[in-house]
Amino acid sequence: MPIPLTLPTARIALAASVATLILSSPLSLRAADAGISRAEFLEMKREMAELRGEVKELRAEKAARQSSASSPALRGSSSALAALNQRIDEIANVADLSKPGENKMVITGSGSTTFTARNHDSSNFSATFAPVLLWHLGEKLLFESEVEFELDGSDTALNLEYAQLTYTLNDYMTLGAGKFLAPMSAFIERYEPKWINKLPDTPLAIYDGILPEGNVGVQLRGVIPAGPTRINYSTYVSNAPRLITTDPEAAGQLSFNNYTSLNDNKAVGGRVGFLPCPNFEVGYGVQYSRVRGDEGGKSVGALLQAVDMSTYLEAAKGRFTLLGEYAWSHLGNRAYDTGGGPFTFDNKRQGGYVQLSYRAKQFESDVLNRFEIVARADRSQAPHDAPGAFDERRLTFGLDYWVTGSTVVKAAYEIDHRDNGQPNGNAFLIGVATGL
Amino acid sequence: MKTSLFSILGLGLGLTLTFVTPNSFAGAGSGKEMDNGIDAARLWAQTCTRCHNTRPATSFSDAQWVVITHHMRVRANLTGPETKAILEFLKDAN
Repeated sequence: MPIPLTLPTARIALAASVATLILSSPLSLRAADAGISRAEFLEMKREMAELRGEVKELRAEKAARQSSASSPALRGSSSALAALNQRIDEIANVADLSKPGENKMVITGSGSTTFTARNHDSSNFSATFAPVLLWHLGEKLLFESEVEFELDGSDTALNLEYAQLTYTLNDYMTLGAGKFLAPMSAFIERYEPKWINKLPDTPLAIYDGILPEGNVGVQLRGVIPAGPTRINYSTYVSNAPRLITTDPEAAGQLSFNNYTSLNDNKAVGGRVGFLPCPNFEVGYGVQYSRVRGDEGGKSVGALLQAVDMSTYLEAAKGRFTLLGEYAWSHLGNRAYDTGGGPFTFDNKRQGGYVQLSYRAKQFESDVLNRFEIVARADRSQAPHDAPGAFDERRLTFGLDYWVTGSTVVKAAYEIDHRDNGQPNGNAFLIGVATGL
Repeated sequence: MKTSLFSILGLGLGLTLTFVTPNSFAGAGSGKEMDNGIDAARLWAQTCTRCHNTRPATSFSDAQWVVITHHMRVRANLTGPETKAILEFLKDAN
């Protein structure tokens, strides 16, 4: 039988339903499950409301910033900053290009000071500065030049050692024009720079002797790899030297500082080097020209020849290096007159050097590894009846200390013997040289 | 004296050929080889020390080495590939 639904009954039922719904709601269940009281729930709800407020404020601030960023003033500042950065980049590029070598030009060279105390002569300090300019004009073009400043009496001598433009023809050949170091001499081309030469002075006959130090003309040079060996060569045409005919101290000698060719005379020459293995080379150099004297007259043939060798050997915790070059010249017969009437002589000269050195390299002491000992024998021989001529022989012992790989302190004692009544020139030498 | 000098030169030649094992010109070797098969480190050591002490690669910038190796190519009669190999070696070591 159905229960009649009276108003009080309905109210009670409605209240019970509402209570049931409240108590069974998910929130109430979660709070009950998590053990959170209603007070805590309400506190969390309040905090959430606060967070929502803060987020709203932040969004408002962000919107304000974006609005102001698009203002003309700030846009101007950004443009200025970008321009400044671009300018800095440009200046950095210019600075990079200004570094040595970055613009394809390098200045190197050497400087030296030498003290010489020689018998029958005043002891003396001397100094040289020889900057070398290398200008890389492209993959195939190179300009190279050395100017040497040298103290000479009360003056400073200025010598153009070389100034040459070279063009690379292919992987094996180079063509050069200008003034170049004498290709026929290995010492002059390779070992003369003060920081390379292991002794404070240069060998007799080879340098300031019977061979040219430089030639003005054109040269063709290159290398021929031949199996496990190689051949290098150089050939050239240059101005011919001048024959000294009237100087009572030097008649019969050649002057190579003659940069104006006399009567179209030209010198032809070259050198061939053979390397059977990387650490051994033998070479032969030759130059021939017709030469005339200051006063003109008969020209005569001048044949200059040289043989050279170089080798090194790693042994005894160091390196032994043996260098040698011997040169000889023969000039045709002609009469000379130095003021006392004409005379003639057989104009043959010769001379050369052998140099042996040992550089310590693998000792535990770094100081010891900086030392090198050197011994050199050299000589020059001139016609006995030539004016001012005498034979000279020297034996030189030296000790080098390498401060760096290109800076060296050199000390040497030279035992000298001269004939034809000339006093010996025993000497003590100290030199300091650096390669730039 | 001339005879003595030639004797010493000959003695040097003999000693060298007797005691030095002829080795090839830095072709394939134990060192790092460049693309062209040249052992650049060995070639650098062989070629430069023939006349002078070697300088550390850091002595000059890469751009300076371009100029200097060009100069030495002419002076020391190096081939083009050898010059390129030595240059790359110096740049790598720089």
